[in-house]
Amino acid sequence: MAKAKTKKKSSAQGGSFKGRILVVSMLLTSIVALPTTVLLFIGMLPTMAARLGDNSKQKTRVLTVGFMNFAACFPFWYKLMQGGHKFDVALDLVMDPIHIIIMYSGALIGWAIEWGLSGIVSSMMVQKGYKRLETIKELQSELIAKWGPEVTGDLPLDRFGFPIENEKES
Amino acid sequence: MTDVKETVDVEEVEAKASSGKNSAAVMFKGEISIFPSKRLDYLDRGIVRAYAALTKGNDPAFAVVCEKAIVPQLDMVTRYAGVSSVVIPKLIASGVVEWTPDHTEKYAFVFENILGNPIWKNGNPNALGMKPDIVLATVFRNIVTALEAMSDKGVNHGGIRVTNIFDGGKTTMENAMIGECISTPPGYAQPALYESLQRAAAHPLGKGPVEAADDMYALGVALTLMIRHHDTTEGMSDEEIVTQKIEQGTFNLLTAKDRFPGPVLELLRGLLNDDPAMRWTLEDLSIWFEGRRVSAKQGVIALLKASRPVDFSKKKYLRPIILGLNFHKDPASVIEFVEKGELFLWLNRSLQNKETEGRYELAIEEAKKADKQSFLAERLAACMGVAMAPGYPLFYRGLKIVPAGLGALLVEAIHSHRDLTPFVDFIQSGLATFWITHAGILGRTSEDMITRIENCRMFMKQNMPGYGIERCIYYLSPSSACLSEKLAAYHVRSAEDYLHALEKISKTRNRPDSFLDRHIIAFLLVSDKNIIEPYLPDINAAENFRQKMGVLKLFTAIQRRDKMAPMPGLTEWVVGQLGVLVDRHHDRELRKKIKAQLEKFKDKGSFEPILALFDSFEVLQHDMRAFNAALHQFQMLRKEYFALEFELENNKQFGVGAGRQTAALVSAGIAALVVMVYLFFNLAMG
Repeated sequence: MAKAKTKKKSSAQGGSFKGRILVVSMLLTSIVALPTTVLLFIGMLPTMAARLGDNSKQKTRVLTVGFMNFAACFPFWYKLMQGGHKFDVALDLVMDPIHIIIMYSGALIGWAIEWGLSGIVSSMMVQKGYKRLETIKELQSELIAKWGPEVTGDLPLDRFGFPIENEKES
Repeated sequence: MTDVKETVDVEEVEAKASSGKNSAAVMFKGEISIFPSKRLDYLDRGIVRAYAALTKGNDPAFAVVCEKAIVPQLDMVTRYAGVSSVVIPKLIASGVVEWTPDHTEKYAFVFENILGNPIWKNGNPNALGMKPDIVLATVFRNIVTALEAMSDKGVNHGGIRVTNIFDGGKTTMENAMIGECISTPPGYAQPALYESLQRAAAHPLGKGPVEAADDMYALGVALTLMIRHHDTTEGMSDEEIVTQKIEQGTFNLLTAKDRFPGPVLELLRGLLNDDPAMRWTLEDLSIWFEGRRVSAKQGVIALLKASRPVDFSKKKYLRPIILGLNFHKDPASVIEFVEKGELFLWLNRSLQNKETEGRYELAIEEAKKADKQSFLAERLAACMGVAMAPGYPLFYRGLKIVPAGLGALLVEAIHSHRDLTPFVDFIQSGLATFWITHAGILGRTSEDMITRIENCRMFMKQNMPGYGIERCIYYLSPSSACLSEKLAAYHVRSAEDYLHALEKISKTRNRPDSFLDRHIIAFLLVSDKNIIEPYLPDINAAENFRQKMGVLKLFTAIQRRDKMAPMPGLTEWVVGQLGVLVDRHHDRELRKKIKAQLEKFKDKGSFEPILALFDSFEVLQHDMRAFNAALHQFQMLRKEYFALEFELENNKQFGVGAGRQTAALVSAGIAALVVMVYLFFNLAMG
């Protein structure tokens, strides 16, 4: 018990340590690349909102919205890089409402893709499920046709697998 | 012979025989013609009838056509055929004949017919009044010659009587002959007058095997009856004859009213001696024929007589033997008679014979051994009968038998549908052993009889087919044909006969549902144990499919071993009942294939390919394994079905997760494309 507790403690300490390093390194990176940080922080706010609003286990909505949101942010990040990756260029870019609309439109398209495709695919999956049910019924019927009703396991069988009732009759 | 008339339906046999009066000749073995319309009454043996016949070369013959109820001595046929004597009719052929007058199979013996006329044709067979010197020089000498020849082959006749002696075609009697003796059980047709004391009291079928001494006795009686002028037993019943023989002695009874020459008297005294040990033998006869004196012998049986009579059932008895022979008539009185001590007092004071007293004590002990008290009186009467008259037949619940004669009587009882419980009781109780112990039978014969009865008792303890009273019948009477109701019209004596009979039955309308019954199984177990024993567990199994498999294997084994010709009728009949075996395969397609093959084989007549369809362990094992796999697959499908159905009905988000994943993938693809297109245009435009 004592050993297990020590292990748990050390792993908890290790985890927080790794997390801390990650946070520190992210902070350092964001400070080093502050213009990019400002641009992407403002531009990808819908993705963060999607992350907060996604209750599903797989959290795929973040990915769907995030990919499209990033694609919409990319041209502005490219301009920032071409403009020498300066803080005032980044501010100019995020201050322009057209640019914000374009970046958020990407996120909106991501939303639309997620809404549309998940509906279509789930309906297809339901159809496929019903089809599978039919197939199972057919397979079972084929098995009964080939092996008789005793294959269902619903009849009491003797040690040779034959219905006990039939045996008595015969 | 009154007993015979009582137990078999003579009228029925007569009616059957007469129905064929106008029928044509019955062909026997393809070359002997038997004429059902030409009866030879004087050669009949009880209900066993004789008919005129012609051999292939048109020589006169006579056929004795047996009834199933009366078992012929088939074990003696070979020995009889080997007897080299012109004084007994020569056996030409024997076997099963299709007796067309009543459309049944019967066992028949065909003998050469040079018998001539019966010597009693125009006289009283009980007192012919022939001249002694002629009789001795012709008839008597011829019969002795025949007996000597038969003795060489180990055959005893058992049918020496005036009505079975013939003139051989010459009135001078030079060629006198004696009739055949193998078509009926020993002593069956022999009147009580010709039987020694012990045999005379038994049922005609319950006398057991004939001994040489019995033939000597019958020869003496026949000689007396041929010579004497007065019938001293006229009007007497069989029972009265036995009683008078015991009271007066046979010699005195038969010769009382006639005068015989001195040498003849000596001969008759020797032959008619009631003690078998003192009776003359064939060797004594040859000494007598040579004119020498036969030396006296030591007797073993003393016919006891009490000084004062005893009252039993309103009759007075002086002789314990006669008393013993009458106990069975009033068994209820025997209990009182014994319990009041009247019998013991009489034995102790008036008879004063220690041996009889000893047997009396043992009889009481034996009677008390009975498991069931329901027949205590009958049992006590039987035991007391043995104690008073040792060696005489045992009287028990209507049976009058010696244990060795049980088989023949059982066959007749089964055939006549009589109550078998007395037989069952007799076998299950120790009466037979008690009888044998006190009958004065010594050595191996006694041990053999006890063993046979003990074996029967073991058979009776088991109730399954192949055992029980049926097994006892064929064990005790191995020459009997199978008495199964299914084979009533056939004379089945072997496994091969059985299949032939079934082949014939298969073509009839009212063929039975099953092929075997208790009689057939017991019969085969006795007559051909090796052919049926391996399959007995299957045949006796409770499951129908195992029974059918047992039957199929049995028939295949018989057909294979006896190299029998195809039997299309029987195979078609058997195949019609093999549905249950087809259904022992799980795979319905395999069933169809087997059915198709059965259809192909069913009228071919061979059981081998039919059995091969069901007797493959590999096929059955493969079928079983495949079925188990299918059973598992079915369960897995069922589980999947229920799980999927539940999800579809209850999970509103069914498929949404997969849709979102798809959306993420599509989104990633579009995003990558947008980035690449943007980069391409920017880089391309400079």
